[in-house]
Amino acid sequence: MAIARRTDKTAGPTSVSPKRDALRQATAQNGEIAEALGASHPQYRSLIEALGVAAYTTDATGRITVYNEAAAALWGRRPEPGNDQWCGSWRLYRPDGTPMPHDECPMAVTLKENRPVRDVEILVERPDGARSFVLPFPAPLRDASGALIGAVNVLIDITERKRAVAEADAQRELVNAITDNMSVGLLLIDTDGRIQFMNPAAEKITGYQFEDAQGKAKHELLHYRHPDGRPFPRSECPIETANDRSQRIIGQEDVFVRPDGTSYNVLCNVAPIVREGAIAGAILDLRDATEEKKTEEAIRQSMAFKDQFMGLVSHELRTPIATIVGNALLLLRRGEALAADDKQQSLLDLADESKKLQRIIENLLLLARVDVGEQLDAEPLLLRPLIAQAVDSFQRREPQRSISVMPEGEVPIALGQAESLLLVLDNLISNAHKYSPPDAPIEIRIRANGSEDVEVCVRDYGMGLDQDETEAVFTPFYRSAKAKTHAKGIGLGLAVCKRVIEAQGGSIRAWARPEGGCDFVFSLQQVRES
Amino acid sequence: MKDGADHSTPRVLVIDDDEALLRMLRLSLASEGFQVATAEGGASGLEKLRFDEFDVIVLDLQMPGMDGRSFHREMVARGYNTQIVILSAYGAEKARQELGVAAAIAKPFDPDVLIETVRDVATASD
Repeated sequence: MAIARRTDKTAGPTSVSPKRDALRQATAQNGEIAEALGASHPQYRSLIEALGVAAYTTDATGRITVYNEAAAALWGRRPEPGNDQWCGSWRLYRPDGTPMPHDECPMAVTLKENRPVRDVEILVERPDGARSFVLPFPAPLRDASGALIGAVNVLIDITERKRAVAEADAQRELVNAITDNMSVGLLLIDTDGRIQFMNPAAEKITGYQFEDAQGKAKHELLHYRHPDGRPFPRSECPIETANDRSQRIIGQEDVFVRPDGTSYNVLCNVAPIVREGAIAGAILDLRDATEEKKTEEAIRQSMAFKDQFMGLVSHELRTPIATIVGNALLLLRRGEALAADDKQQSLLDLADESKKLQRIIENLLLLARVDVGEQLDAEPLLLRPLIAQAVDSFQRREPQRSISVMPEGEVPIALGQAESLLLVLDNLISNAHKYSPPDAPIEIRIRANGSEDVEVCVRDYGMGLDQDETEAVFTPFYRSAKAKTHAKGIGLGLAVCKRVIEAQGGSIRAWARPEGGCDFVFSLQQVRES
Repeated sequence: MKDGADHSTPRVLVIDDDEALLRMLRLSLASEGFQVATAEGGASGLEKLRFDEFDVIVLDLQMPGMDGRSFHREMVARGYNTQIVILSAYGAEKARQELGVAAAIAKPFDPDVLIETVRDVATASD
């Protein structure tokens, strides 16, 4: 390292004697103290030269006496020994970018306060505008009596270090932003399977805070038990063995255990972490698959329901068609061979099954209409003749069934849609018929309910309903256990009644009478006389 | 076919919960010379088996009370091995495979196809 001199800016760093000349000159200019610092302490000067980092000295007044080439390179200029004071830099700033007067620089503080200054960063600007972050190490120089004779300063350029730290910080912040905000849980485990890192998603999924899980064995904390409660030894865990063998595991479905002992489904991937050719642990990403499992289960149930539903609907639609087709072909091919009674019965069955099929199709179509939110146009109508029509139609099919219509008092005009109400009445009467003994009567009561509604009650004396089923019976395709064993059907009629009645501004309810039998009551709005 | 039975008049038991369908099946099969008995459910079908012998059972699957599958299970448990033709509106062939029975026909169907099938099954079981 060469000692720079103001008068020989071109001097090469290998030349020793010109430096001495320069020092002599500087000494001459700066008087006795400079002489003492520079020329008369060759060991000290050699030290400055040999340092390999920027360094300079001043006298007690802060005038620069000696500096090395590294200092000149850092400053981008060669200060004038004995003239430049405190520091050889062109301009100085604090790390926040605000200007720092030379007489407030760390070297100035050292000299003014006769103490070393540490850990104060400065920003040095060269004449060409380039800036460097510098950590100075100014220290006072004292003579044998302890009097301050000057100071020495070593300047460490920390620009690259700061840039590397800033880059590392930025990288870390980026990684943190990713791991903090991702919905996938991340767990880093070391070669012993101990948890080294968890992101917030992993905390949420596992139910453990990282502080509580850090350093603990992942398997024994999260994965120690089979779903059925049997212990799950680490030696059998594919995640652990993959860690040993540096294998990747992709898309493994597994069951982990929460702190409260409950289980949850996870979908995980495991990849080894390799550092310098050796396995350093594994990264485990986790997704909570509980919702997916629930969805799968819901889909499975819905498929099972669809299967059941298709079975019921197919049965209900295809059975009458089978009878119709069968009778038609029977009459066509073998009609002449049939006895007159059989032929008559076959024709009757053809007609009845066709009507039955028509009713089922009407119900399905009406359900489809009201299910898509279509409102039914309600008009003022007289319920008594409408009910009589429904009863008449039903009794043509089932002449043995006793049905009585019982108006209670004056029956007001109701607001409804006749065609769909006929279907509702037929469904309710058919239902009462289906679930009653052959000799049990069906009663239909009609009454005003206050001044707002008209109520129609279809009462049977049949097998009845469980009180807790009075809501469920209106769910499409719902069939109670009792109904299933008693009669066939698809659970469509009552659902259609509810939708249809509600679509014309009315309501319907079922009542299981304690003494047995059911009341199905629907109400429609009254038409007020103007 | 049981010993002493007339080969031209196989005995058929039809089990279905639909009365009208039963009537049609009875007429169709009888018109072709079959001896036909009917039952409106699995339980009454089992009762018929107790008192009569049949060459073929035509069996519906979906019935209230004892359905077709339950009937088959119970029938096998009681040691009957009568040939079965499944007649169902839904999943007939699937059920045939599951239960390992002779034949399956989907509703609706051409009665002539049923007659031929019943005849084939009765003949094969001779």
